[in-house]
Amino acid sequence: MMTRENVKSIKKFRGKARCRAIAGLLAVAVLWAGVDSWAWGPRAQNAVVATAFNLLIKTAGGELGRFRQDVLNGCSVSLSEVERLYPQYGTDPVNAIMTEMALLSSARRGKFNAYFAYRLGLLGKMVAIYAAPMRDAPVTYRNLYYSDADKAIDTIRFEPRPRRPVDGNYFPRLAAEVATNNELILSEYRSGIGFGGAASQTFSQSASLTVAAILDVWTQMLAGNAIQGSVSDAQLRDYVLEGCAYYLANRSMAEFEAALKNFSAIVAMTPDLRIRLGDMLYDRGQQERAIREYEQALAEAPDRRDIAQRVSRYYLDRGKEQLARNALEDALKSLEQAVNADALNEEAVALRVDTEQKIAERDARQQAFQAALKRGAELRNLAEQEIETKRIAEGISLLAQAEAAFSEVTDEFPMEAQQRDRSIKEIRSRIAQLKNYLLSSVSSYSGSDWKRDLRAAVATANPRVYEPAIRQLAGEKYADLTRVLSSEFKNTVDDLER
Amino acid sequence: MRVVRPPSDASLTRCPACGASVDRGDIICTSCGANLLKMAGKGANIQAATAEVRAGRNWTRLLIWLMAGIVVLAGVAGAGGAVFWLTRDPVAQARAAAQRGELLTAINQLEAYLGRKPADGSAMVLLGKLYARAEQFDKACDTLLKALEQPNPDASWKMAAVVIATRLTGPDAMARQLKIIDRICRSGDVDERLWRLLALGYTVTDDRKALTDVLGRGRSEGKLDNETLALGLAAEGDLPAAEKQLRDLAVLSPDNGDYPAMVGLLLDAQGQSDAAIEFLEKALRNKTSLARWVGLRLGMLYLSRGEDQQALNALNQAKIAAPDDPEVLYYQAIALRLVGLREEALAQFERIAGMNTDLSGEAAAKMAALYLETGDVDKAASAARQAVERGVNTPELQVVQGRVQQALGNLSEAESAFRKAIQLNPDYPVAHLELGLLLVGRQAVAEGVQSLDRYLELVGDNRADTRAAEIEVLVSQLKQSVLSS
Repeated sequence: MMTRENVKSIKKFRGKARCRAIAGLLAVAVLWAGVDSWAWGPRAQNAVVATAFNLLIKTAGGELGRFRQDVLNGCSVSLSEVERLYPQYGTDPVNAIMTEMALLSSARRGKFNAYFAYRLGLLGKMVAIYAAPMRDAPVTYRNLYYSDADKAIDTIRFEPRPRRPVDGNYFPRLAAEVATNNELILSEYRSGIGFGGAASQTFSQSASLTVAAILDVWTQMLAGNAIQGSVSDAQLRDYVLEGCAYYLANRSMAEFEAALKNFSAIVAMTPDLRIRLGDMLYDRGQQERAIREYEQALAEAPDRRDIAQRVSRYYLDRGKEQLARNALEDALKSLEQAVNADALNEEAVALRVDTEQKIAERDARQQAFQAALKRGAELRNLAEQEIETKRIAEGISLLAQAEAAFSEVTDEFPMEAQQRDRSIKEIRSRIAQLKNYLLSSVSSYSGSDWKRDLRAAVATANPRVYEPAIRQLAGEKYADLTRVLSSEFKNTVDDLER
Repeated sequence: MRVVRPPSDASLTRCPACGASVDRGDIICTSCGANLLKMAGKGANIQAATAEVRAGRNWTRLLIWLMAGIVVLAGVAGAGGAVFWLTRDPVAQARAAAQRGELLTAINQLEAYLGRKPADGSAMVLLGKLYARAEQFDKACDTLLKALEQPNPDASWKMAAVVIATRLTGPDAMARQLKIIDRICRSGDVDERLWRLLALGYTVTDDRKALTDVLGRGRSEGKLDNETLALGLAAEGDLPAAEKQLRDLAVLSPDNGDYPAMVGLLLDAQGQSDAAIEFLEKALRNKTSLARWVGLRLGMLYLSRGEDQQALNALNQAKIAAPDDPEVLYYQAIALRLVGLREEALAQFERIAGMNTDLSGEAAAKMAALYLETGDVDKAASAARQAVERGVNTPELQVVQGRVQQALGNLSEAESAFRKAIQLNPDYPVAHLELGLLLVGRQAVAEGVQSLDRYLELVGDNRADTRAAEIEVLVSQLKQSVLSS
């Protein structure tokens, strides 16, 4: 971050003609403008905190080991985040560290949790900043040093130190011890030696001192020797809220709920706290969970109309959104909850009445649609009965009526609409099938009147059969008579004498 | 010319003219043509000369005497011959010749005689009889008719003429017979049976005018029996009167089959089918000689009433009476089809189609329809062509041809055939039916329904043997379902 001190240092440096590589320094300054300007570099901070944590685990047991990442998360927060929590840190870092120690000491109830580990990392960072060499050096050299230290962090050799109690003299002594080589290092930087001289030689010592300081603070805090009375409920509530925010940001809701349960042991969940927690949840998209908190708060403080209004507003908004989706039952339920939360919410009351009416109308329509579907199905059954008796046209007519009945159903109700679509599709297919059958069946009647044709051929025959019969009979009689006459008058013919 | 003579003197053995040898009794010399009879005198001389040559000159006197004697004898013989010639009976001679078996001689003699005496009725009658004996019946009849034109003809001549007339043959024999009989009947009082014969004859030949005349005269004079009268009346067209006469006869002769046959046929012709069937059935039971007509008509009556099995039974009897009659076969085939014997009907129609008869074309058309029923489209097409070749051009055949084309997939040709059938007979329901069905099948539903409506209109309430009820439903369904959409 480009601070006022940085600018001043750069101006001063310009004033001195002997400054070398102005452009390079500017580049370095710019390079480090975004990082903590008066502490170890990020790698160095990470290294010292991680080293301290490893040493802590060795002494405090493996329980904390599960939260290594949370510690590193806490270590890696920006300086602004530290200053958000402890605005006085820039001016009175010791106080801030002590406050944090007291807070963590108070907040530690039972098992470790992720947020506690996070704040442990934050505390480590605060100590590491405080225990960094060159903290009060001009910003340019200080940043150059921290940059070089970050690069050389892999080369340090840790030098164990005995634990020292963190008492009232601890931090001044620590500051003095840290600043022992500052002048030399600064002079070497000014002379152009840079990190290659005393800085390099004292780097392991400085880093080890920082690790030891962190470890001293943590050990003291975990041992519970910090002054607890200095931590207010407000701080604890803030701690809880910050912890909740941390869980919501980094962990699952289940872990959040478990952590919240633990947090309730740290500080009483007052209505206000629940409201704040509800707001946080609401802002993070956990509206229903937030409402639970609001409702709980309202239950604990029924006179808090603001809570009631908040809950009512929530349910009203939800009801409107559900109304927009035409989820009338859900909307009604939400609106009822809105009214229940705040009976004076006129908009919710009006919307509830309106929704109830809409539901009644919709139910009436649905019943009408279901009746239409039922009527269509009955007509279809009747049609099939007609078709079975070869009354195809009547069947088709009934199917058309059934289709009309099904068509009364709109798209409003998905199930009914789906049933309508399926039924209409089947009916149209059936009608087409029947029409085809009707048209193709006509050929079966071809030649059907052959009997009529044959009988017609008989009817057109000549009925005057009696005429040839008469001739035949008369002919026979004629022949008979001629035979009689021939016989009778044979002699008359044959006898030549007569 | 050689004429047989009784043996005479054997002295004349050479021709007096040429000296050639001649036989005894020869009249003409076959060598020179001389008349030996004329030269008999000379012959005597020749013989005498020959005798003189042989016996010498002493015999001359004897010969003269002999010659004189011969001349005398010849004169006597000539006189006797002249007397005989002048006093002989040629009719009797002819009769004798005929009795000897010399029919030709007898006929020649009589013809020659009648040439001289054309009014000799007896000779004419004899000549007629001789003609008849020689089986020249036409001449016989003509001759007898001429004889009857002579004054006072003998009654027996008429009957002889009738009997001979009945022996006439040839295509117009009956007409010639009737002409003769008619003339005889009109010649005066005759045997009543001749009137009957005449009436029957005219009935057979269907000569209405002559029949009416005969019936009038015969009835007024009471010369006709009821049977002949009934037949004549029926032939005249007076069916009720004929029927009444025949009913009476049937009552009098309950075992007779012909009377109920005729009554049945006459009732049928008058449209009284129920009574007709009763009489026709009785006729068949009584073994009528008219079984062909009775069976045929009874079968038709049964067919028109839808009693197909009875129809087939009746037609079977008709077929027994007339096994090859195309008409009987045709209607029997129809009956066979109607009782469900399709193969038998097909075989029968095929037989008729192969005959040379008026019904062969119709039979081929029926075959085509039957083949369509069996799905044998090629044979159906062939039979339909055969029907056309036989000159059939009926709406029925056009419909069959249309159905054949339809079965072959030639729908335009089919439609054209159906429309032609309608042109031939706009009131033929089946043509409208088939056209309607075809059009509906081709998706021309509106036009098709129109044709089907016309079919239903033509069928009306007479829906036997049709599927009109189903088609009515179909039309209704098409109107409701297809046309409405």
